[in-house]
Amino acid sequence: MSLGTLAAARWFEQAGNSLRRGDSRGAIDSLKRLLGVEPEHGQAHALLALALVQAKRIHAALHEAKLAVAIEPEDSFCHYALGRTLIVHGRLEAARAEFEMARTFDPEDADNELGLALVAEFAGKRADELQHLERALSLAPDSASVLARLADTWFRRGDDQRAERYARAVLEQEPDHLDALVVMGHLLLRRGQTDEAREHAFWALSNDATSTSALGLLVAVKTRTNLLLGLWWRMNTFLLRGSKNRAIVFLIGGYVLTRVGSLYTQQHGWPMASDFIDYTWLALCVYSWVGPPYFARQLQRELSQVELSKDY
Amino acid sequence: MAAYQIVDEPSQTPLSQLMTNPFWAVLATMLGGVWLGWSWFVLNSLAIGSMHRKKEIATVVLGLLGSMGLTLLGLWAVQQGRLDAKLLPYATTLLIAWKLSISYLLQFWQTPSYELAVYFRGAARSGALLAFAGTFLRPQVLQHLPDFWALVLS
Repeated sequence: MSLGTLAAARWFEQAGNSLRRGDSRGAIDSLKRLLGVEPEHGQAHALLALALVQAKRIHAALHEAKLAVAIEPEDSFCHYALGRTLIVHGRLEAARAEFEMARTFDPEDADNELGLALVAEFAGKRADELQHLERALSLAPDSASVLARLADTWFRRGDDQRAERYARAVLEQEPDHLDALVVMGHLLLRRGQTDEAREHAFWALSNDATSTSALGLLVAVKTRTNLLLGLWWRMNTFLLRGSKNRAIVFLIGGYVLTRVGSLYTQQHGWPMASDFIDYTWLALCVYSWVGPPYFARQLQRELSQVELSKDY
Repeated sequence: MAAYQIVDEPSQTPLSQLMTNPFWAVLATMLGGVWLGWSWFVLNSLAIGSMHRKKEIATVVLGLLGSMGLTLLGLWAVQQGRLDAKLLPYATTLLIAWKLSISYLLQFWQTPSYELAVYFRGAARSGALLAFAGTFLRPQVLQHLPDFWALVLS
């Protein structure tokens, strides 16, 4: 084996480890080095696509995933990566086709079933989702990622008992498993045990300080305890759910409505109502200006309490 | 060792030093008008080396064409007596909404490229001074233009 190949194998392994820890930048750097030496490494392009998805660079991710499949059209992992990328682009049918293709090349890989379960979840096909998860469980009954996914699914469906059972099963195997910690945290929060939920968020963040799900849990805890922050967070998640065009439509719609309301009330001799509408809009604008730095400061204060684990 | 370049990584251009957060261009549109804000977006797109620069420039052109169309329609309706003086402020609200929509769209597209560019090149210039100067530049620039262009570019 040549030195270049050895280095490539090391970078690929490093990238995989970084990605598992949630360090997408580290993974991207390792894979860029690898691809600088071996530009035709299909699995490296596929892993890069997954890292780019995690870094929210979804256009580049799609480009890399398509390259991966073009280079290695009969590789299960390349099709899996393309499927994951298509999901974030909202192309569910195409994603399903890729996961099915991946399954034909490697029928024993539970990840492909998890991918199909994800497609079913986004498509709102709850029965199909469960069917794929059960198939994944039969393929890999002890897999922490499968059990964690089941915990998350049952949590979303409101079956807290089952969710807790699966989450605990994962944590018995891997006490630092991020997804299981997050689900446990949300379960505790649902029960009103805010402090315990915060501890789970800190625990998860100590293993991966950039995890969006762990940060999401911490934010959920903060929004429970801080009304202003909660309001800001809910408004943002509402506006940014789905596409960015939705946020634009709501912002412009809000502007037009308040402007028309203000003009109408003014023309009909209700100056106080007109002033009220104008000041409400102004307050919202000021709040949207002040909100993000305030939110960031609150979150930073919480994050400063996180002690990173030695392995991170 | 040859470095692999990912497709969305911003390319270095002679204008790179001029890049700013697209938020300031939106603010410049609000305070100074589209003549300032949209030309800033185009410059910023080139400075960042945005992967969407063709789309962004095309959107600015579309925005200008839309503004011209809406202004022409409004002026025609006034001349024909189809638009009552009372309804004029409502009509101008539509024009403002159009310009804001284009500006927000440009900001949403440009922000990811800007964040990547900051990651690779380091901190960018602040555009606050120019954005706020737009308030004072607005009358200076628009008063020299014919009414039609003042409406389109305000």
